[in-house]
Amino acid sequence: MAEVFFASSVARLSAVKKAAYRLSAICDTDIVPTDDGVRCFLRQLGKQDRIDLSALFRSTVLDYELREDISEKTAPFRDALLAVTFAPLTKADPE
Amino acid sequence: MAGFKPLAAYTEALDAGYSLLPMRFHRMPSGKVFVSNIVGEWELLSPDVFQTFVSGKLPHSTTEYADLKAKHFLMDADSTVAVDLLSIKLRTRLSHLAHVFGLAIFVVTLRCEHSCPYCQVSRQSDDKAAFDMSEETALLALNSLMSSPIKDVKIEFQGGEPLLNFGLIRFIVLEGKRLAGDAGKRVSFVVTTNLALISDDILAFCKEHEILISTSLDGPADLHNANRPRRGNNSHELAVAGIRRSAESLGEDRVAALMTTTKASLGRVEEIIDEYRRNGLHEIFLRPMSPYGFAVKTKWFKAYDEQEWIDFYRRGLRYIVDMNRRGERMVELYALTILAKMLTGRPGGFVDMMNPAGIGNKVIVFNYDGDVYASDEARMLAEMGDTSFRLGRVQDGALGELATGPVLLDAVEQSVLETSPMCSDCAFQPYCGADPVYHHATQGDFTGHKPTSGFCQRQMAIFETLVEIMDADPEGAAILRSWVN
Repeated sequence: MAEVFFASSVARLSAVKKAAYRLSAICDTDIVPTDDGVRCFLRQLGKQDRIDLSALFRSTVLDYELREDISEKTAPFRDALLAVTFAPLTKADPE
Repeated sequence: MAGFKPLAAYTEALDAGYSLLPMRFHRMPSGKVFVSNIVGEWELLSPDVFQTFVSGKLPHSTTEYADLKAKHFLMDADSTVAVDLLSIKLRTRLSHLAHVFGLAIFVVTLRCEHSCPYCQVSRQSDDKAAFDMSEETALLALNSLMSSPIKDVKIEFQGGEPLLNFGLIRFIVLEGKRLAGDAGKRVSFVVTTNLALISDDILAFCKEHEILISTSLDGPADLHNANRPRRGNNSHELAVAGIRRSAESLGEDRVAALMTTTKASLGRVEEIIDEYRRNGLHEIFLRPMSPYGFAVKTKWFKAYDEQEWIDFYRRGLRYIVDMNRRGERMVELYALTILAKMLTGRPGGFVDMMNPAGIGNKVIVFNYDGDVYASDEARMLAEMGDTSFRLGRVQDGALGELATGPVLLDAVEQSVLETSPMCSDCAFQPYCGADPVYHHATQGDFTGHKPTSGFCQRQMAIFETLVEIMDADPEGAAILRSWVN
C-alpha cells in the first residue's frame, strides 16, 4: 500500500478524483480529504509487475491539475464560443 | 504625412503576452505532448515547449508560437476574430448532426449457408423461411424511410446471406427507386454478401441499378475457410471468384471487402493484406471481432485480448504504409476514418466513431421481422436476447418518432464524450466516437468505464500510432495524408 499527500495549494480534489478514475484499472485508491489537502492510499490491482504507484499517481494528478487550471482559465472563451456556435443564424423577429 | 507606425507599436502589444484558448493534452509514449482544441486542430510539442507554452512564457518570435496561434491554441493582442473563426469551424465540424438516416439497413433474411463460429448476427440455417423479411414489411420500411427529411438514402442489404432472399432485394430496389423518385430523393444500394450465391442474373441486376457489393475476405484460403466454414469447405474459392466476377461486371471500385480478426489471424496480418492485393482490392479494414452473437457464445470474442489485436493492427498498418512507399496503393479504413477527422474535420461514415453516437440517427435497421433497431450491432444484441436498442416496430409510426424516443435519447445523451468521465479531458476526443452499444454489451453501461474499456484501449493505441507516424516518418505522413485527399 502506497500513500501520497497533496496539499490543497498544489492540487484540488477534482484533479485527484480524476487521476484516481484514470488509473482505476491498475490501482485502487482510497481518497481521504483532510483540513490542508488530500491523502490517498494506493493499492495495485491485477497480477502485472509491480509499478511505482506513488510516482505514477503524482504525475497523473499534476497533469489533471494542469487540465483543471487550463479549463478554468479558458472557460469564458469556451462559453462564448459555444454560445456563438449554437446561436440561431437568423436575427430574432423584432415584432 | 502618413507612414508606418514605429516598430515598438507592433511589438509592445505582443510583449503584453497571450491567453491560452481551450485545449486538451496527452503525453505520448515518446515523451512529446499532443495538444488538440475544440475544433480538432492539433500540434505535437516537445515537453519543454509545452511547459513554457502553458506557463504563458512562449516567446512570440518562435515558430511554435506562430503555429499555436494559427491553430487557435492562444490569443494575443493581435488576435481579433478567434471566436468567429472557431465558431464557423465548430459548426462545420458538427454539421453532420443535421443529416439523419443516411444509411438504412434492411435485414432481408437471417438465413445463411455458412456456419461461421464468429457470426455476430446469429444466423439461421438456410431452410427456415420464417426468418425472411416479407414484401409487406419491406414496403412499410421503405415508406417510413422516404418520409424522413434526408435527400440521399443509402440502402444496405444485410443478412444472414441476403442473396438467399434475392427476390425481396429486387422488390426493394424497384420500389425504393419508385418511391424515392416520388419523394424527390436519391437512393443507392449496397449488398453485403459472402458471394457464394452470386450469379450472372444477380450481377446483371446489380449493374443495371448500380448496386455496390461488400463482401468478406478473411485472408488466405486456409485461414478464410477455417473462419468461415460451409458445406464443401470452399468459402474462399467462391469469395475470390465472386470478387473477380463482380469487379469484371460492375467495375473494380464497386466491390469492397471486410475482414474479421480471429485468434488464427493474429500472426498473419501481412498474408491477409497480400491476399487483398492479390485479389485487386486496394482497401482493407483491419477489424477486431465484435462482442455479439455467436462470437460471444463460442468464446471466439474472448480468444485474444486488446493488446494482441493492437500489436496485429500496428504491424498491419506499418506493412500497408511500406506497400504504399513501394508505389502499391493500399488504404487501411480504420486509420482513414480517424485521419479524416484529424486532417479535415470530416466526421466519416463509421457509426461507432461518431460523437454524439450515430446510432438511430445516422443509421437505422429494419429487421426481417419488422422490428426497428438503432444500429446493426443493436440487432445483433437483440438476437442474444437484449433488446435495449429496439426502437419499435415498423408499423408503429414515422421514423422520426421511433428515433426520438427515450430508448435512443438516453443512450445517446449518456454517451456524449464531452460529458463522459475521462473522455471529457482526452486530447483525442475530437476524433473519437461514443459507442454506447459496445459499452452496454461489454460493461452494461451506455457511458462505459473507459479505464477498462477495450474500445478506449484500441482507439488510444491507434491515435498514438498515427501521430507517431506523422511525427517521425515524413514519407509515411505524406502517405497517410494522401489517403484522406
